[in-house]
Amino acid sequence: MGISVIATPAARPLPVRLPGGIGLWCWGGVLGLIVALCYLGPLVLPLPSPDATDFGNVLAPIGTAGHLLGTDSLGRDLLSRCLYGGRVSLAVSVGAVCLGLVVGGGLGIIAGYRGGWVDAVISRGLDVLFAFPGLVLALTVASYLGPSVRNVTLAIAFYTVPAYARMARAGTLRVRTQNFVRAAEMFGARGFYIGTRHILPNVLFLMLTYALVLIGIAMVIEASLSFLGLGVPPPQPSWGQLIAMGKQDISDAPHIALVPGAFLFLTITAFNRLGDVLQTRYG
Amino acid sequence: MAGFILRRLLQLLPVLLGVTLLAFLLVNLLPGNMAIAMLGPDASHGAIVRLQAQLGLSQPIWLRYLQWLGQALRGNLGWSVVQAEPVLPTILQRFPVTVEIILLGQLIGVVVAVPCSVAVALRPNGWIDQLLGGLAYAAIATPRFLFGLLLILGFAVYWRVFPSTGYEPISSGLLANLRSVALPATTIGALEFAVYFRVLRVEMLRNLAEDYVVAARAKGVSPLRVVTRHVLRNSMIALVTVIGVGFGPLVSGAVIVESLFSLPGVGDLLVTSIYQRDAIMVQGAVVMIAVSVVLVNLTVDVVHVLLDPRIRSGGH
Repeated sequence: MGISVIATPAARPLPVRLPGGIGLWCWGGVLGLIVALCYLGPLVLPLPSPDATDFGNVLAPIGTAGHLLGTDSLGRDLLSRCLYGGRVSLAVSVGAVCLGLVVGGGLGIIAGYRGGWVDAVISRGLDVLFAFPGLVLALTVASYLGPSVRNVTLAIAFYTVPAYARMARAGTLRVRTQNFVRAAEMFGARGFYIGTRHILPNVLFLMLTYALVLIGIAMVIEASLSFLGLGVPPPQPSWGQLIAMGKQDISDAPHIALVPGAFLFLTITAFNRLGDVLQTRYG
Repeated sequence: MAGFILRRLLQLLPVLLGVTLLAFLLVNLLPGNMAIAMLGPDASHGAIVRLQAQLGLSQPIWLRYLQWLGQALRGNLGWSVVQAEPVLPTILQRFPVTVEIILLGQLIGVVVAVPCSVAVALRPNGWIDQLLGGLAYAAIATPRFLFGLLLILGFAVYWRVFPSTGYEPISSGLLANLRSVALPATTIGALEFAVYFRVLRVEMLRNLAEDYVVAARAKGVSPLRVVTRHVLRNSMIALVTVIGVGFGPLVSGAVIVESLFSLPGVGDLLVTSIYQRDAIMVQGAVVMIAVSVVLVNLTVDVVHVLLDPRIRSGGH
C-alpha cells in the first residue's frame, strides 16, 4: 500500500508527472513521419494509384506482394489509399483549425478588449453556437453546403471558431488591464494596433499549443462526417471514409477498416500528446 | 436561489432565440431551394410549386421564421412530407433511445472510473496509474465509430455474444433491451471513462495533499478509508461538473453510435433525414437537440449551486 504518500503528502510536491523532452521528440517524430509519408510517400514509393483496381487481388491481407497493407473489396491498394486519404484528413482539419484561429481568435480578442455591448453580442452568439453539439452542427452545415473539401472544412470551422473565440476572449481579459496595454492606450494607440501588437502576442502562444489538441478534435469530426457519408465525396479517399467502407467487410477482412483506423489513431494520439507536452511545458 | 434560477432563465432567452434562428436559417438560407432539394433535380415544375406553397416558401424569410417560431412554441414543428408524419411526435418518440444510451454510457464511465481513480490515489504513479493513464489516453484518441467497430468485431463477429445492430424496446423485456444496447452504451462509456478518470485523478491527487488527509491519517484512519471517505467525496463535485458539461458532446457521440448500430434514436433520425433531404425533420431535430443541450446545461448549473453554495455568493 502506498501509505507513505498518504501519510506525508505535504513533503512531496504534487504527484503529477511532467512529460519530459523525450515525449516531445518521440511524438513529434511520429507525426512528422506520418505527414511525410502522406505527402512525399506517393511521390517516392512505387505505389499503385489509390483508384487503380486489381480484381485478381481482392481483399488481399496485409503483407501481400505488391500490396504491403493489403487491398479492399475492389482490389485497391490500402497503403496508397491511406496515404492519399491522410492528405485529405490533414488538410481539412488543419484548414478548419486555421480558420478558427484567425476568425475565432479575432472575434475573441475584439470581444475581450472592447467589452460592453460588443462583448455581449459576440458572447451570446458564441453561446448559441455552443448549444449545438459539434458533430450535429457540422453535419447540418456539410449536408446543406454539399460535399467537397472546402465545404467540409467550413463545416468543421463552425466548431473551431467558437472554441478559439472563447479562449482568445479569456486570454484578452487577462492582459487588457495590464500596464503595457494602459500605456499604449495613453499614448493614443488605436484599438487595432493594441489588438495586434500588444494583445495578440500574449495570447497567440497559448492558442498555437491549443491548435494541436483542436486538430485532433477536428480530425475526429472530419472522420465522423466521412463515416456518415457526409464528408469529402468518393472516389477521393479520407481516413473516416476508408473505415466506413471497411465496415462492410469487417467479418471477412477486418484489416480494411483497421489499417486506416490505425493511421487515424496514431495521428490523433500524436497531436494530442504533443499538445499536452507543449501545454504542460509552456502553458 | 429562486433569484439565481430566474436570472439564469432570463439569460437563456436570447440564447434559445438564437438557437432557433440559427437552426431555421441553416435549413432555409443555405444555397438551393428547399423544395427542389427535397424533390430532387428531376421534379416537375408543378410539383415544386405545390410543395413551395405547402411549405410557405413564397413569403419573406423573417416572416416565415416568426410563423415557424410561433407554431414551434405551440408544440408544432411542422409536417414531414418525406415521412408523412408530424415532426415533433416523431422526434419525441425517438428521444428515449438516445437518452438511454447516453445515460448508460455515463453510468459505465462512472462505474469504471471511480474504482480506477481510487486505485490510483492509493498508489500514485505506480504501474496501475501508468497503465490506466495509457488506456485513458488511447480511449480519447480513438474516434467513437472506430471503437464501436472494434467492439462489433470482437463481440458480434468473433464471439457472437451481443447483436451488432438493432434495438429491443424495454417492453420486450429488460434483459433483451440491455443486450441490444450493450455495445452502443459501451462505445459511449469508453470515452466517458477516459474523461472522468483523468479529471478524477487530478482532483484526487490534489486533495491528497490537503491537511485533512494528514489529520485523518494521524488519527489512524486506513489509507483505503481516507481515499474513499474523504478524498473521493471531495473530488465528486468535479465529476458532477464533467458529467454535466459532457452532455452536448455526448449527443454527437450518440449520432455516430446510433448510426453505426442502427438504433432508432434522434441521432439516427437526423442522419437519415439528411440523406432523405427531409429539411423540416432536420430542422426539428437540430432545434430539439440544441434546446435540450441548453436546458441540461441550465440544470447542471442549478444542481451545482445546490451542491456548492460558494458559487452563488462568489460568482455574482
